[in-house]
Amino acid sequence: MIEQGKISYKQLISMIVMTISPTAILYLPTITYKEAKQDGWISILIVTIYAFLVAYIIINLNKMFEGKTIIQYSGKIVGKYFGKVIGFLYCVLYIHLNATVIREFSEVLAGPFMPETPLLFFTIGIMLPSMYGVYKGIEVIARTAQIIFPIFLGAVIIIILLGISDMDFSRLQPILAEGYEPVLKGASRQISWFSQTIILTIITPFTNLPKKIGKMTYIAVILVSIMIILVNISIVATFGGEVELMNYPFLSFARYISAIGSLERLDSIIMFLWIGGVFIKIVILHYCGVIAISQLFSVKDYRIFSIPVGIILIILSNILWGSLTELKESIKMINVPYNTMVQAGIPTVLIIIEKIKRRFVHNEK
Amino acid sequence: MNKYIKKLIDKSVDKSKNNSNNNKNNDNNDNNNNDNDNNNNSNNSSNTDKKISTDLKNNLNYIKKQFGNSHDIIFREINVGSKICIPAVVISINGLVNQNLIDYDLLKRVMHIDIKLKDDFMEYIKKSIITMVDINDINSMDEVFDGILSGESVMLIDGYSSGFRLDTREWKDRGVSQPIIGSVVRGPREGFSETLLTNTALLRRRIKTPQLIFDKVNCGQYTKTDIVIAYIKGIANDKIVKEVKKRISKIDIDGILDSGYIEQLIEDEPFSLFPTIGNTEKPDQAAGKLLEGRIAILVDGSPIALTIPFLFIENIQTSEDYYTRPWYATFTRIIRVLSLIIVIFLPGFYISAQTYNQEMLPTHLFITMAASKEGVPFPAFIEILIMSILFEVLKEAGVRMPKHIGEALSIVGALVLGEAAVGAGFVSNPAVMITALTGIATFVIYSLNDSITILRFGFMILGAAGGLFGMLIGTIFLLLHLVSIRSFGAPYMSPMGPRNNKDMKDTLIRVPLWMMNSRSEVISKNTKKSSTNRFVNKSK
Repeated sequence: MIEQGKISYKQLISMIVMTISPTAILYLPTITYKEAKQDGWISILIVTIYAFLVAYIIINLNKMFEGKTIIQYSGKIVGKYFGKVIGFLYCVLYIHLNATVIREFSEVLAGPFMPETPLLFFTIGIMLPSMYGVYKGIEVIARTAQIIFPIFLGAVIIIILLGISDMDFSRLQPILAEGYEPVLKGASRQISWFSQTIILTIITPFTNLPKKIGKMTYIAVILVSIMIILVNISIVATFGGEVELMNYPFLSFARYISAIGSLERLDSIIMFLWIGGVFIKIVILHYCGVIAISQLFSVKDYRIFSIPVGIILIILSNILWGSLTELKESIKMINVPYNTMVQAGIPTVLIIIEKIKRRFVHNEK
Repeated sequence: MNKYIKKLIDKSVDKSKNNSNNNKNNDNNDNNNNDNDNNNNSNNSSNTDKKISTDLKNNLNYIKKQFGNSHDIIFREINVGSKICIPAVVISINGLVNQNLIDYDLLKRVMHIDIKLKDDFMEYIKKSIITMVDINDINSMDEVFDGILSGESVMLIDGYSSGFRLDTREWKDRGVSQPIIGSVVRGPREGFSETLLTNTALLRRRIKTPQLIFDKVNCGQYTKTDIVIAYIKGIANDKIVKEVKKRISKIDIDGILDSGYIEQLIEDEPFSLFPTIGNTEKPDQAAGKLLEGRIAILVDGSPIALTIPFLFIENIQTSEDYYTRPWYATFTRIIRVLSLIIVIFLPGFYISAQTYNQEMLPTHLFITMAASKEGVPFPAFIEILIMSILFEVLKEAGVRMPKHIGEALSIVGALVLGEAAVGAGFVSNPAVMITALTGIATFVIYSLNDSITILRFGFMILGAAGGLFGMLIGTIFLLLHLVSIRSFGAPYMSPMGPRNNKDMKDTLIRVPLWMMNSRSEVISKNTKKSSTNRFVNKSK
């Protein structure tokens, strides 16, 4: 079945925000703290500028080819053979990224909450609804994202508000004590998350208002960065130097709040809402991967790929990394450069080539 | 969607073909060759070629043969005109007709008046002699049988190939009484009855515009049930009306006994747990839905009307919400949503909290629960399962048993079983309490009764197998499924699924009536209501 669904621009915003933020909230504070120490929030601001650039490039690239995904139009830019190579790279990107996310998700659930349970249980558990969601199509995914997005946002804001009394903003000082270098280093670690607007390359043809995509994406990026900055500030303000030692600072933050006052079990509730958010991310990436594969092999009905790709994802998330430490090292060493190259590098190259081509043709006329 | 309906239609086509084969065998014993020919086409008198012959005896023989020897069919042979005495016959079914009407307005007039023989005899009788209100010409045997069987009287006159059909319908009916399922504290208490004419009249009383259209169709090969599709032209979506008519015309089934048959045969998602066609037993509720742009289907013989399209949010709306003031209406809506959540999630949550996720309960509560579970031999899952099944058995028995035994047995069920079970150490007190609360909360939303019972058991199993994570996965599945359903084109979860802020005025909260000035876009194209802006009046 050719995908006939159409998503509105509000649904697009929720989808983009839900793609970037859940894992970013969980992992980014530690990563930035290691480099930029207490100036993590400045590095996030810098990365936002980068995110705008990437979004701009991707949106303009999509505008040049209305209604087609990157797999379909990359062949037109660089020729059929290289087009297939680029398409293949994107398939691998989505699947690899998704496997990383699934592994992160299973580790988070297993580690603090249910250490005795094998990881495969969580992996299969989250992939089953994802396969069902991909089978149903983009409209179902968009509507679910629209329902879960306010709950997720509300949960994050409530947690931050509840913890305000424990925050000591003097821990954020001194600002820029060591100069710009550590801040830029910290920014360089985060760029792979913020260039995840790459999903736009697949989803753009399915929106019903192609003119507004630019504005909506920028709004989404601003929303995401505000959320992550707030989380970062509140965590650093509460914990100070201990952030370096934590695996999941946001979780510890929720637990810290629940230990004070009579609100017990807050971390479990937050965890469930967070699971909803990660599910949306997983299902969107799964969907992008399935569409990419089906267009690479020119298969009209993308739905038959939903279960096989799901099984591949389960297996990959199991065998690619042995433990949490390996996962973290791999994210730092492999994911960040590789993702950035494919998510930001390739569209940049493509748009430059296309612009040159068009000017050439224009000049010839 | 169409695939399922095709299967159902094919199944019922095969069934009816088998039936016609059986009847062919029975009718082969007939000596009359004419009738055999006719019966080979179908097994009842749906012969569109058969005309009324001018010979009265022929007609009579044919009709008597078709009806066999049923004793409730009255053949009254009369002489038309006191002087000219043309033989005629009036056929009616005893029990379906008002015999007074036939006596005074038909027989007396036709038999006692000196009718002159005229050229246009039938017209003359119809217009000047018979003093009944509803009279129609009929020209084929089909209409003769239709008329007789629906309670009208048929008059055939010797020498003429057309006859009359007179509406003399009257039968014993339950009357307009209070409905069982939709009782309200504030609001009208009339409910639909089993007669189609009564129901359409009840709707007409409430909506007095000529734009209220009643389209009648016929369904069911043996029952030939009358079905009325009601909608307000100009507000209802014409595409949906067309789709409904198309689907009903494709139904090929032996008999329609209740509106539930129609619901199951035309619905969009036959395999989903959730209904995509609404039920209502109250005419004011049906009228309200018609005014929103929905379509109502009334089926003869069933007091329950169907409303199309049906969204999930309508499950928590009742007609009483609109007759009371907004604060309490909003409050009761929140209570309903809360009871929905309790029914689906509470037993599973209890099971998973007891078995896997003990950290979810506050410490004090957990100690109390652990203490009351001392000495109970079963794990939490078996406890809740036993009590839930017991509750379902009690519920079903309560519906079926005769009234006078019912009261005594309910005391037995509630007190004795519950108390004795705890006393014997079978189950713990929290389990009994949770099951009782869940069971009562099931009845808060009647339209979802069956769905949430099944869901409740599903989530119990998920909670026992996968803990809270399992229940979460089940919730995600449920959400994905609900969001993907459409009811005749309208997304099931709107206005929350595809978010539509204009329609959020009537979901969890119910804004005051003077703020509700638009119809929902997914239901009707005509979204502008005549608004009632009370502040305009005040300033005057």
